[in-house]
Amino acid sequence: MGIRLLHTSDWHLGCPLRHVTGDAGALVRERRLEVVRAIAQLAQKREVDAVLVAGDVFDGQHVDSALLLRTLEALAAYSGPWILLPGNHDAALAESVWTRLARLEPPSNVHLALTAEPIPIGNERAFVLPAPLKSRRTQDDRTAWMDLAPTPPGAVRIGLAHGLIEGLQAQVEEATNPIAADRVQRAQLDYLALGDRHGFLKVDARTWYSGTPEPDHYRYRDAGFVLLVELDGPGAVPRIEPIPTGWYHWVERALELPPLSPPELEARIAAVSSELPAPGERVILKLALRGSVDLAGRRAVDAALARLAAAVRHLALEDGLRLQPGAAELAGLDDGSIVGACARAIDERRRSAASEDERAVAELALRLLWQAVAELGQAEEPRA
Amino acid sequence: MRLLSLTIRDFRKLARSWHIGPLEPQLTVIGGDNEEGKSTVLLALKAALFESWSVSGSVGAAMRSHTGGTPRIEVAFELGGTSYRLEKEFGRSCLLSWSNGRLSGDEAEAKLQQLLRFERRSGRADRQAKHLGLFALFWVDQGTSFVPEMTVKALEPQRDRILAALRREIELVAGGPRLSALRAHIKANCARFFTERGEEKRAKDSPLVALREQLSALEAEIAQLQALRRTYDATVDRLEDARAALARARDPQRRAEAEARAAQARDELQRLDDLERAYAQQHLIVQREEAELKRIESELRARERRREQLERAQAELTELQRERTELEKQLKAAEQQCLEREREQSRLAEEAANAHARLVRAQRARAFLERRDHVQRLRDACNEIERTAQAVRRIEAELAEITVDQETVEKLRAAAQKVAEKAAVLNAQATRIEFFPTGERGVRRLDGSALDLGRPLDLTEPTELVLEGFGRIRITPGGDLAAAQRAVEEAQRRLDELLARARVPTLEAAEAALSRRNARAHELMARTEQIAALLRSLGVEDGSALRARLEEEEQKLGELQREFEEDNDAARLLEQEHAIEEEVRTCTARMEKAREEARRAGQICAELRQRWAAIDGQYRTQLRTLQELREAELADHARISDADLKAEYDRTAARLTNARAQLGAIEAEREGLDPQRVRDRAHAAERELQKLEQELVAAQREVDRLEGELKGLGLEACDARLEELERRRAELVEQKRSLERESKAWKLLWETLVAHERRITESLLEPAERRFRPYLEKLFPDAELVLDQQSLLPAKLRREGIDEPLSELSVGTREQLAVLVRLALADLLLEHEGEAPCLVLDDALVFSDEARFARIKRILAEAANRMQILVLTCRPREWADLSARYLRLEDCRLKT
Repeated sequence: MGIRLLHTSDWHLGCPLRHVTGDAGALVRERRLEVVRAIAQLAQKREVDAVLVAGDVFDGQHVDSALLLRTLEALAAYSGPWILLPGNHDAALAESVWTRLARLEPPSNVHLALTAEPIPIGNERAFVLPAPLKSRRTQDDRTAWMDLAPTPPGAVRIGLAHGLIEGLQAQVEEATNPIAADRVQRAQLDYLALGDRHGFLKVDARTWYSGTPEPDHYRYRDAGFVLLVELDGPGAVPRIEPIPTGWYHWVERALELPPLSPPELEARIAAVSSELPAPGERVILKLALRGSVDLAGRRAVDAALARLAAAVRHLALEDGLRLQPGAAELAGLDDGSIVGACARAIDERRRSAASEDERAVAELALRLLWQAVAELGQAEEPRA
Repeated sequence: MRLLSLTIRDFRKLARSWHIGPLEPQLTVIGGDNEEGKSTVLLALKAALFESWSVSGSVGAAMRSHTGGTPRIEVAFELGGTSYRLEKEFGRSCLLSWSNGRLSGDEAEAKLQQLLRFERRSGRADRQAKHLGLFALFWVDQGTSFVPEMTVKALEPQRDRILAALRREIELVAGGPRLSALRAHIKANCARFFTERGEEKRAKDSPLVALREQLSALEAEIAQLQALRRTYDATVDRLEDARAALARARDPQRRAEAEARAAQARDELQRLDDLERAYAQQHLIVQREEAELKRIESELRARERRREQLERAQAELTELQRERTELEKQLKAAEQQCLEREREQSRLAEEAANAHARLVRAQRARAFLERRDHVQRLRDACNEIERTAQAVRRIEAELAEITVDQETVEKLRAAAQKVAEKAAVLNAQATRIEFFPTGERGVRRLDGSALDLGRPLDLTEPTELVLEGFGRIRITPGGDLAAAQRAVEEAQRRLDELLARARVPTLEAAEAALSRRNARAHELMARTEQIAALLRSLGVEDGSALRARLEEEEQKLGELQREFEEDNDAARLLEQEHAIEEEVRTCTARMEKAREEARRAGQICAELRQRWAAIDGQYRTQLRTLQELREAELADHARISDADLKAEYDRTAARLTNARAQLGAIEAEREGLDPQRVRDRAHAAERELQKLEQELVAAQREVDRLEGELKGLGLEACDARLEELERRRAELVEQKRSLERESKAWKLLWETLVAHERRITESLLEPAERRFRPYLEKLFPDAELVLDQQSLLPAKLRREGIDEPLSELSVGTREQLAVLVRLALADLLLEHEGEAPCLVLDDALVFSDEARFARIKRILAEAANRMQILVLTCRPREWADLSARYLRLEDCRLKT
């Protein structure tokens, strides 16, 4: 009789997601707890023997106590064993989020793997060998103890760790929380469940990163999954099934806007909305704008951006658009009064600005002038 | 605007009805005498146009004339190409009619206000320029045109109108009201962030300030939470360390090893202690045997020494006995010698005493003879003093008889000098006659006394001279000789009185008497000094003391006289005195020698006695020592014999050798153990155990403390709050950046706008100057006008490169400039509004000189071709040379 597990990690409960502001931020943060409920329901549904959470359950040591209680409540949907491993964000310090959680007296099926000792699951058909991190950063391989960890003969040996497999990130000169690349062989593990990377990754047939179940950044392409792991017995190659759990899509787009008419500009921006991989309410969009527009174009872009922001859950804008008023626009301001002279002076200042800030101020001044003149013109028209 | 006619009834000074008109569209001169009512015409015009028909109270009362009738004014005027007729009866009605319209009452007033663009005066408010619209500037009251402030005040309400005209002229503000709205919009936005002076607002109504304060508060809270979190994390780290330390302290293997090391060290230490105790005991035994051996050795040596002492003491005693016997013999012989010397000394002392008694008597005889001589000298001195005293008394008597003293002589000399001086004065005034007779002629006085012809004759009184061969001649000196003569006589009389008082006939006699007196005084002094010297030599103070001394000495002499009845006896003794003295010295020397010998014999005797006593003492001591030594020897022998003592010594030496051998064995074993190492090891083992215990306690205490500290910090929810705050901060920072950029943008806009406006305002000066220049050239050909940028009015007149402020110009010049300003501004309005206001000058230009007056009249006449000008003047003839319509005010009074 085999062993079936759910492998997940990097929940980062309590993560502030500072770059998602306003109500959208609150919703995105709340979703991180909802995904835990979803995992519990999945575990219950798939009748797994245990759910292994490979570290960084919490984003920090000082999360709200209410969050701890809500986490326990979210776990309640699965009555099987939860094996929660401290990671680098929630290391098992002398006083930590884990000691706080322990004081809340969690249910007996919730195991806090705070020490390196085998945990039996599936009626001792398998043993989970946890390698909890005791500090935020360490240069020691905390999984080394697994090599000599005693388990009954015939039991499946499952490693549970949080860190970086050596050689996986060559660019990191001195990776912290290292894990030996051949730990599976040395410790005769049937499966090594890892956490730390937010996208899921197969290191080898028995070594997997599950990634975070709910994406939290634009750069993680393979985030938003949990791994269903099935082991037929000791020595058997595990069968891995990534199951999507993520709700929000973190999308990055860049638009280079050439000089276009206002309707064309609006169309370009509107096209971003229509090309999204999911309904807007599930999209966190980061949009970088480059290029230059004239005053009318700027107004059109602003209007289109406002519509786009309303269409997605959150729009993070990197506005690199340069204002390039057209000669006709400046001439339009020049009605023979000093307004035209002012506009020309400010435009000259914009073009000769010594700093980016100075340029931005001059651009804004020009926009404000243009806008005010336009509004006053509109106000006068009915009277005319 | 053009005034057509004016009809006034019962308005102030203008009682009943007056009709002024028709008025020319160009120049109209209205002449009238002083106080006839010219200014009232202007007042009536202003009241009709700018005062409400319903005016009442003091304003209404002030309009009434002495007739008491209701003031009524009718004005016909053209404005904007339309002819209007205004009929206003104050307190009753108002009617404004034009070609296709007619309004009455307040509606008429409102229409009027709209046409003339002025601000209605309310109640009793003082009339200001704004209450007269444009006409405050162009209708110049009597005596106000030359006051620059009045012109500025009048221009102020119309500045916008004038400036607007100018701006339109330079065509810079095509936007008109739109620019104003834009300006207001930018200013309002700028004012959100900046003060009027362009400084950033510090008050909370600035959104930026409020935002910054909010951000600052937020950052403070964040910093506080971060600090709390850092503290918490650091405490957690310390707790980790403390728990590790506690685990190390509790390590049972470490403890067991330490305790085993301690037990082994304790065993070694115990063996070392035993050995050291045995060593100490054996050492005591050795010491005891050594002491006993030493004691026996000492006693043996003491017995040997005593035997030697006994022998020496016996020999010394025998020698002392012999010495004592010899000394006893010597002492007896010395005592005999001493007795003999004492007897000899007594005999010689008696002889010396006898010789000394004789010497004393001889000395007293000498004293007797000396005293006798002394008494004789005292008697001689007494006699000498007596004689000298008598001489002194004689001299004193002589001195008493001489009445002249130094002072008297001085007075006499002064009086004689006075007489001489007065006589000299008399003689100086005298008539001098000198004789040069021919031949042997003589001359004599009438009284017969002959004259010495070789000497001049000074006459001080009328004198008759007989000249031989000639006869008599009477000479009477001139001048006031009588007074000089009286002075001489007075001086002479004073001299004579002094001489009489001094009882001397002449000054010479007085001087001789003074000389005598001085000589006797010197003598007296010498005698007195002689007596004093004699007394001093005898050592007495005066004669009576000398006599007392003499009596005393005589008495003593009497006593000695009785001892030596015969002077010969005394003389004889005196002769023997030296022999007796020699005998005394001889006896005394022999006696002293005998005494010295007796003393030496006594001394030898004493020394011998002393030596005997010492030898005797030594003898007795030695005898006693001998006895004691013998007694001690007997006692020791009685206690233990010498042979027994020697045997005891041998036994003790053997025991000592044995004890030392045992001590050496113990010592060797102890050194084999290395005591210092054993003790150090034991100490280290105990210390290690103690340290383990302390570590355990300290680590447990630290763990407890840190756990308590962490509970105390209460960091729960810190992250959530911190994250919330940081999110909020990120939002606020973005808002702040955006607002700062917006504020800078508005400021940039505002500053750019203001800078351009300033440049335009500056450019407005040019057209204004252009209007003034033609008039100015006509009136002041060599002058240049400098306009004020704000008021656009002349501020300075520049002539020959020198600026003259308006206030420093003459009243006449200022008045002329004021008129030119109005003409220029009227031209401006004419060009830009299509119509110039009517210019009314009430008795203006009265301070102008004739030349300037003539020039300005021509200027006005020329200007009247473009605008209506009304001149109210009391000197109409001065305006007669112009082609103007002339009206005499008195001709304007209506008959009915």
